Amino acid sequence: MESIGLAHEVNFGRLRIGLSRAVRRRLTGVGYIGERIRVKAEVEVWNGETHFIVTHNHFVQQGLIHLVNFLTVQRTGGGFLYNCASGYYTMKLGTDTTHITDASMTALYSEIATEPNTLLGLNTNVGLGVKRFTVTATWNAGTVSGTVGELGLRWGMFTTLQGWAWDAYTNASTKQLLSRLSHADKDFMAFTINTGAPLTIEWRVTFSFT
Amino acid sequence: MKVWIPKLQLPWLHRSRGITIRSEVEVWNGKTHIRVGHNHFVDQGLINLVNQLTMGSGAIGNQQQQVYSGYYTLKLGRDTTTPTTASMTALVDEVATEPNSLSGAKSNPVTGTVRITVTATWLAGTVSGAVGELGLRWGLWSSLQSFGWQASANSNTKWLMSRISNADGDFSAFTINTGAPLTIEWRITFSFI
Repeated sequence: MESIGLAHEVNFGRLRIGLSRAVRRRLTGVGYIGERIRVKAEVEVWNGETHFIVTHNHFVQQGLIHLVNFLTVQRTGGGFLYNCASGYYTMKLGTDTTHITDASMTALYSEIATEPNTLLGLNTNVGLGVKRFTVTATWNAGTVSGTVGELGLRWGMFTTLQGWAWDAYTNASTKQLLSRLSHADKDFMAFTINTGAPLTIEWRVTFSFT
Repeated sequence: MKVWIPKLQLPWLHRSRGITIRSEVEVWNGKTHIRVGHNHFVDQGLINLVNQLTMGSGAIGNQQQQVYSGYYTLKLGRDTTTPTTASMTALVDEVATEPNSLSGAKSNPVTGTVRITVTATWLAGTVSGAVGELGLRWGLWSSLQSFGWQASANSNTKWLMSRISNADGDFSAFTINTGAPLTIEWRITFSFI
């Protein structure tokens, strides 16, 4: 068996390609576009004098499954609702300050029931190799109170891994946890809501080449 | 104004900070066996991911997309000199012959890792010549849709999602052994980083 592509073999042709690749990656990146796709998120919070930005979040396993499910769907139809249909997605606040995010988590640990007063979404083509969707939620002043120790992005998802070429002939589950950030993960410091000011959260999910 | 000072970030508290999507491609043809530990996604593949995650509903009636029969495939190409660019929408010099068999599978090996595998086989003698590039084609929505859009039409068929090539230094161009089948397995792995 002639093996011409395995990285570990001693083959000067491959060594040359490997070195060339490493040098090119370091110097220019030319020829390495799209080697990986990275899905990351930034979350920004405003509430009166409180303002912080967290440059990551913690996706949970069911979010990963949903992404794969939708890339391998063969048919959609019948007006079924998914993802970010009205009432299918939201942002949630939680009061927990002690539990770190676990990949198998399906809800915030101690979720506040109050839904945001407004919720908006936007897709943006930032440039070649960078695409983004942004969700913005606002709770009007006085509609929610207490300590916030965790934040969650909920989505209309299919959380069970479907078969290859499945048909999305039913509505997705509504408002399933896609991603979380928390005080316990040391993503931000728990804060007490200033009820005299609106609370706005912008969750930016960016898909980019790396 | 509150001043927030980040605490010491311990690596084991950083599970699932993001998702990374990578690929491995493996090729078998007689004595030739190639394994490439990555690939090059193109921009329209990235757009399709965002579109799929922000689709609000399917329209009335069946809308075919992604991996509907005849909507995805693997392609061979002859080019050996052109590196992949993000704006590429097809192999540079594509071989028209489709694989004789094509199958897909999904798996969830461990928590935090989900994989798509596409396997294509050309029977012995059905395709010949030099191979310098390989492409994964998908039933993509290649224009960025608005948030909450409705998939009220079929997606495009067999659009380039990802490529590997001799010119990128991914593998050395090889001549097909027509006495043996040519099999390619393209594994896309979604995992937490």
